[in-house]
Amino acid sequence: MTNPPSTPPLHYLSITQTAALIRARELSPVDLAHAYLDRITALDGALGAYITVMRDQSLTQARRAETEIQSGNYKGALHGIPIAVKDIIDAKGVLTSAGSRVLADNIPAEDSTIIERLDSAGAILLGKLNLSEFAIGGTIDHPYGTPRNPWNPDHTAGGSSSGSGVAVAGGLCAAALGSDTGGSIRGPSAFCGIVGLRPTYGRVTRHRVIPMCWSMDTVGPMTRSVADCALVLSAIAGADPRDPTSSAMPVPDYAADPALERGARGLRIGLPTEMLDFDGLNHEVRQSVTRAVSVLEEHGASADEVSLPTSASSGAVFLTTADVDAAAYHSDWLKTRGDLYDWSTRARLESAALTPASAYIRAQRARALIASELHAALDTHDALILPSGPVPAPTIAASTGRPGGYYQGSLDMARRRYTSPAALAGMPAISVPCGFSQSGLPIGMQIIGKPFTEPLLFRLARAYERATDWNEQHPDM
Amino acid sequence: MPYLTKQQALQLAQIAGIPMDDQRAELAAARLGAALQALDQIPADALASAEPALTFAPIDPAAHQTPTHQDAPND
Repeated sequence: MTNPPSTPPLHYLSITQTAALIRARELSPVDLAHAYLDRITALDGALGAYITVMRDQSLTQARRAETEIQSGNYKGALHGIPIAVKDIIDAKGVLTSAGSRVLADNIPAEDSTIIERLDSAGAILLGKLNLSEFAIGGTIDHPYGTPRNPWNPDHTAGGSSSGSGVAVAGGLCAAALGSDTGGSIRGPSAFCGIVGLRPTYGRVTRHRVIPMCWSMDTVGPMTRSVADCALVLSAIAGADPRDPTSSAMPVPDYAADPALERGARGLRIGLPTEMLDFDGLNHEVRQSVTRAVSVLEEHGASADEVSLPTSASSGAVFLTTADVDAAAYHSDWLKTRGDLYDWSTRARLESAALTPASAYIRAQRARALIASELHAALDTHDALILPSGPVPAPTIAASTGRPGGYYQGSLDMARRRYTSPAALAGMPAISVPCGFSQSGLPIGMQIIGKPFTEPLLFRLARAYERATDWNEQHPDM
Repeated sequence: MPYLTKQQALQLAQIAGIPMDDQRAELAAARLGAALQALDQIPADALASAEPALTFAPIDPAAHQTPTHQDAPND
């Protein structure tokens, strides 16, 4: 771990810091793209963050950005900023593999709306990022290499947006996009020590994003600071006629919102008993999150316990709703190309495919109940705070969907208790770094709010970030 | 006694048209059985008044001024 330096190296600058240099023409977008590409060449063989590095295309985009900026056509804070996306998001002419052998030849003919929006903002697309197969956690055999945690390569980067977490934490891009169906942004963000937002369901278009569960999938930013997260969300959020579930709710300029720097004073925080008093919660994680809440209290927030009684069952509810959707999406391939799937992915999808309809409906009823409990807690509190997961990153060997692994059985249910409730309720949730374990692995704190309260989540997360220096610490590599 | 047996899993797989050998059926029975068992632990009376969540309701911005169980985005 490095101590916070006064000026971080280029690859660890925030977007805000980098954009200021680009805007002032003190940093060339082409030089910046080269810096990241060189770092990818040097480090990604060991880290496994990228599936496809778009060297030529990104340099072409960077040269275009440089010309535009030199001509006085500065588009905003993402102009010339190198970003990478999880490999379930289509970019025209570039492999979208979903981290699977099943789609090893899948070259989309069109851009996703998200890629179009990043391009309009002037961002540079560095490449497509590794993930758990089809955004379903627990992959054992990653066809494009195993993503490794930059803080300790023997440990997992989480799932399913593993490559996104690795790339941001390891300084292999300025920001990344991940997707979060049941925790796939928050988990890797916590394990890798970065900021990650699961937006409100419908806030960001899902057009040409390979689905896992139609009613829970979200795409969101993974970044090195809260302000960066706000910047990227502003660029990708908003209604999309090509996604009927996208929301018509106006998109604020999240990063420019004065509330972002308003601090925690007056905010009421709920602390869910079922998560903080859970036997399966690692004591270092509990301690870090408890301390983080104390910091917010010192800055004027108030906190008290709330109860979400059905949340203890949220893992089972998630598996009997989201996984059933996934099994439906994959049903033809399971029958005809089953042997191309990773062992764990196939086992999970096959189990889900056998779910009785009565159980699916029971789970959907429980989902409504969990959502109502969250809404009730948020009627009396501005936000809920809980760990992003019950433990720091396990070893890679222990992080599979095999029996006894982190992504199977009781351990899987334990982690889902923390990440499934917001997903089932369609609520936004942000993970921010809040400490390290004795062994030097990052710990994440999760903040959940009502739908479309992203500005409030950013405000609270930023208040905490300003009071601490966790986000300024980076792996020494 | 397992919540779901291998034989039941094989029967369900046959109905679903998914080719499955004994080993994978045993695994599917264990995984699905565990999820169904956990689901059944939710008290029935708690679910009595809960209607299944809808899945494709576009989000109405007006509904989110004062969100409640009735107008939640996915409910």
